[in-house]
Amino acid sequence: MTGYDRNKERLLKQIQALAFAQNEWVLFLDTHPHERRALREYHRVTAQLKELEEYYNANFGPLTPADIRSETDWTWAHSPWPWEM
Amino acid sequence: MWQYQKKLQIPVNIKRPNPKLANYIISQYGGPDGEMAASMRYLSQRFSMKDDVAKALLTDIGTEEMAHLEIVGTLVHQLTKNATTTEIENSPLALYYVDHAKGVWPTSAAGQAFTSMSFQVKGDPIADLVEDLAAEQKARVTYDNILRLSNDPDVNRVIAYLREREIVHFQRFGEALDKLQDDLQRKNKFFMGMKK
Repeated sequence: MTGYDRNKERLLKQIQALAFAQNEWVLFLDTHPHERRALREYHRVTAQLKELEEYYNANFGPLTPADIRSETDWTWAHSPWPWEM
Repeated sequence: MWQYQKKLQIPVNIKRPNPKLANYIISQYGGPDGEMAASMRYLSQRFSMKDDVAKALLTDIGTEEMAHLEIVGTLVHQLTKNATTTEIENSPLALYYVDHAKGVWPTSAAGQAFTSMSFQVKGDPIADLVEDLAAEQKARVTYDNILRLSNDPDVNRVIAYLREREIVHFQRFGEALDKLQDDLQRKNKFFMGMKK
């Protein structure tokens, strides 16, 4: 996927939007487990989200401790935290 | 188990301090129909469910409610962090401030500490799912009430989002209850009591 934002705040908003869509598919699939089209959409959104998250993690800081790239800094604990952004 | 992602579910950026509004909104943090009650209810109810639909849905909605709890806490924090002591003193938050200053502590707007008494886990799938439908409506009504008491557009945007989510959750719980009742009907059982 191309054309995603290189600005931290705007990229995070795109990630939030995709993660929201993904969550909606999760809840829908929980009560409609046999809907194949929904499952396809879930996978599609998940793949897009993964790409954006990779870029975010590489450039702006880890979304989870598993995403820490630095060998020298514990970037996980750096501010701002989500309630401060 | 839980993973935490270092982001809010939606952006929250409140520009104007408003301790009065914080005092209203805190009810969705620690109040009877707030996000803590919702998440604890769903995440606790799932243990005694037999149906995969119920187990999955309660886990996933329960988890989303924790994300909402974080948003509500963020609202309270941002509405108070730059408020002056005078502003706080002249608001209904003055009493809360005595014990918590600008901290975020689970309580209702009227000052009742968070309690498990505001939700139930009966261990009966029908009772528990029907409780969940009611819970989502109560949460939705509480957000309606908050919207009526607020004229801050940054705050209202967030509250309107949280309100909308309650409506979607209500729909999903309805579907889970339908499926449960269909299954019981198909097995020609009427669920009246506890199975040994």
